[in-house]
This record gives sequence, structure tokens and C-alpha cells, in this order.
Amino acid sequence: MFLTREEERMLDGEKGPAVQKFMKLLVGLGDILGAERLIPVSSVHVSGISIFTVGDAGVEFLSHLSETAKFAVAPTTNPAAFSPEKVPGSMPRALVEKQLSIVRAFEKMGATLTLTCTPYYTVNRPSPGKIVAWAESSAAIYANSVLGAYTNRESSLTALASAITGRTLLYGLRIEENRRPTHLIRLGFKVRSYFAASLLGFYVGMKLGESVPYFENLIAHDDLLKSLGAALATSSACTLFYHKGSILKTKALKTSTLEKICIEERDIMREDYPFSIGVHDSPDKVILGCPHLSLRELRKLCASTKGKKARSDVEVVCCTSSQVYKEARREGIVSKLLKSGVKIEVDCCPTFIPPEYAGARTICTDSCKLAYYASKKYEVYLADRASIVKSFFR
Amino acid sequence: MKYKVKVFGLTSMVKGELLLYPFPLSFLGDVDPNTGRIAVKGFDRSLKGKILLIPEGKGSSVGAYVLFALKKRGNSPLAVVTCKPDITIASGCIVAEIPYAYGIPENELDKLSSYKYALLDPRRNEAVFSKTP
Repeated sequence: MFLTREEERMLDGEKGPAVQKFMKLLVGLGDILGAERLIPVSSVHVSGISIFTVGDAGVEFLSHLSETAKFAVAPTTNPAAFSPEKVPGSMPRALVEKQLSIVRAFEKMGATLTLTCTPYYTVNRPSPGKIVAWAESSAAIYANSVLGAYTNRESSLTALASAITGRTLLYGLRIEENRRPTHLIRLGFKVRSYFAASLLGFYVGMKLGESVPYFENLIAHDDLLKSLGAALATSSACTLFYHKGSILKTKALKTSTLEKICIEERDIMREDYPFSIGVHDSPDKVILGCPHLSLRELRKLCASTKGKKARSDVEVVCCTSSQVYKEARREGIVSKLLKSGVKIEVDCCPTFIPPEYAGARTICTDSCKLAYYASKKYEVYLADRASIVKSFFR
Repeated sequence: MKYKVKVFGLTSMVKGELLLYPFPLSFLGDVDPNTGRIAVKGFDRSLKGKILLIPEGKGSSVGAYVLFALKKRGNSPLAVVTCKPDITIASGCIVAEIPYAYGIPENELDKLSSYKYALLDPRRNEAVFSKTP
């Protein structure tokens, strides 16, 4: 692989052991993947923040790394298991300490502690054409498909490598010819809800695997595209899709030779998913906000629950970033939602929290991503947000 | 038996006892960093100080951190060898400074099950297996 003079010096250890170690990682992976050279990144988003995803080994690694490493490009960070501002009483002290030490390690290295899977609603919103390195599959697919940035689906380690060295590998979806669509998808229905967008993404990922689908007649706003992308990236390795009216230059795309697939609404309502479709009568918890809710979604939810109150036997939780939460509070949405009995959680991801700490066994959500991962430990029901409001608010 | 492989993280030859685990391995879950043992149903052996040969990795990318934990506790393998290149294992080995190689044809694993020792040569990019030291 070609390296610049400066990159050679980083590899030789002139910029310290951490830079050297992660330069070795990039060069080693570049060799395996056949990357020609490295390329500077303007934005990084790191994953692997929650104690329930990285485990004890991750705590050890990150604490050790933070003794010598400083980020060259300050990354935004994925959610933790709980907000450092609001430590839950239900979690054992040892686990709390481990989680806090992970957050501290990232802070020490110079990360911007956004603690959200939607960095693009905060300070990290790259402009079209920028080369970025984003871990968190739902964020990476959003960066490529909605923002028009150039990223691969990074792992926790390769994103760390980019934050520490300021470089990433020139390969995969950072090369124009690999961004061409592979399948042309025609929908026989209109996608109107997060639930339908999510199911569509999940279904297409299952059907096509690693691909670049082009939804030729899908017109949808960014929040629906977020739902679709998150689910597509859950059931497959897909990290880029196109739709009608996309920011990406779809007119220049050659689509006549692509394999065409027609999808009807009944196709996406399958029975072989690892979760059930439909509202459960009395789940322990309703969780909205996987990926984290946008301000617009909170506004809509506030409007649809106006004058209603959540059933006392069901805990209704919304997850968002603390940045969006602050904006919502300023608009008066937070107090209205709280009045309707909705709990708002920030900085955290409920997906991987074991049931014994969550105080729940049955979950209802409208996100296939949450439903898929949570189905390993919970009984999960997937329903439309409107039906959720109808069933659980009086 | 001699194979052309691609070797990472080695400047000179390394030689040691071979541990062949013929199934995809998830470092997270299948390997205990506190003991260095691969403990899965029907298989319980230490990888500490051995040249570990597996077809490929599987499971969580957090497995990379387990390789680091193994190294830090002095329980790491001498080297890890896979058939196909494996990004998660390669990442973990590089940051944990454990030598890594890939390129053994998968259909050779059966044959190699009766071999006891392995040698990795970074200069020739070769892996050599033998039945005696």
C-alpha cells in the first residue's frame, strides 16, 4: 500500500505508540482488503461504548488506550447503557463503574460525548461528498444514503483507528464504482410509517444480502429513510441505498441492466421474522427511538398523544440524544410528553440491556433493528406508531 | 506440509505447538481470557502459547478486544492462523500484537488434524506443519 512520508513516520512510531499501533492496523487491513492508499477523514463516529456490547475486555482495552492516545479527529460517540447523568439504581455498582470508565476513556482521548446513534442530529453532520469513517451500521448507511457522505461500515476498532490517525482506507464504498446500485426495486405501495419503512428495509436486507438497492419509486422524508436504513443494515451488510429524490445523483445511474424486483406490502409482512408483528395487549415496555428520535418525530408524537395519558400498566419510553432533548425542552415538547406519561431517555441504548436490569420481558416497538436484537432475550412485538398510541394511550 | 500464507506482525520465524480448532471461532464467548481456554461444547483446550489454526472467526467484532485481554493476562496464543482473511481477528491480533496469518486452504484442515507443530515464516510467507518438533 502506498503511504505518504507523514504516514510512514506515523507507522515508524514518531507520533507515539498509539498512532503507531493503529497505523499498523490500517496498513494491515489495507493489505488484506487490497486498498491502494489511505485517505484523510473529516468526521468519525465511534461505536462500542455500551458496557453490554464491549464487555470487560473492552473496558480494559479502552482504559489502557486512553493512557497514551489522543484523537486527531474528535469522534462523536454511540450511546452508553445508561446516561452518565442519570445512573439507574437497578444496575449493580460494578457494572455502573465499568460503564463510566468507558465513557471517561473516550472523554480523555478527546471524543465529543454525543452518546447517540444519530450523530447527524448533533454536531456531526457531514456535507455531501465528504470522506468519513462511521461505525454504527444505522449511522453509516444514513451517512452514505441520506447525507451523501462516503463511508464504509466501520468496526469499533477501525473507527478508533481513523479518530487516532485521521486516516481511513480508500476502498469499498469510498470508491465511486462500488457505489453503483445492484438492484432496482419497485414498490407496489406507499411507505407512510416508520413501521412500514423498517419492515421494508428488513425484508430487502434479508432477500438481497450485501447489495446497493435503488428504490426507484420511494419518496420519503429523512426520518423514514433512517428507519428503512437501520433495518436494512440490520438484516444485511448493505451500507448504501438510493431512492427517488435522493441527494445522490440518481439521474446519472445506469439502471436498465439491473435486476428488477417488485415488492408489495404483503411481501414484507412475513411470519418468519424473529419477532411478532402486531400490538401485544400488555407488554411491559413500549420503546420508541431506535435509532434515536429526531426533533420532528418527538413533535409528531407529542401531537398524537395530546390530551391522552399512557396506560399505567405499560411503561412507554422514548430514546433520543441529549442534544435533541434540549431542543425539544425549549419547544415545550418534553413537559407535554411527560404529562402524557411518556418517559424520555437520553444518551442510552436499550437494545442490549439484559432483561434483569430492564425490568421487562415483553417489548413493543416499531423498529426492526431493536426488535431483531432484543428478540434474543425478550419477547418482541413490532407495531406501527399510530397503533401503539391508539392501544397504550387513553 | 507447507503452505503459502500471508503473515502479519512477525519479523522472524515463530515455531510452536499447533492447536487446530476446526470450526468458526467467536473469541467473545468461546474463549475465556482469564484462562486462555477455548471452552465450547465438546472441546476444552488451552490456546495459551500455541499456534491456533481455525477456518475463520464468527460472531461479535468485540472479539478483537478479547484477543487484547488474552495478551494482557499472558494467556495469548503464539500466533493465530485462519483460512480466509478475517478482518475481526486480524484487527484484534494487530492491536494486541499477536502474529496473524491467513491462507491455509480450508479443505486441508482435515489432513492437518494429525499434525502437532507449526512454523510461520514471515520472510517467505510460509506456514509449515510437522508431526514432530
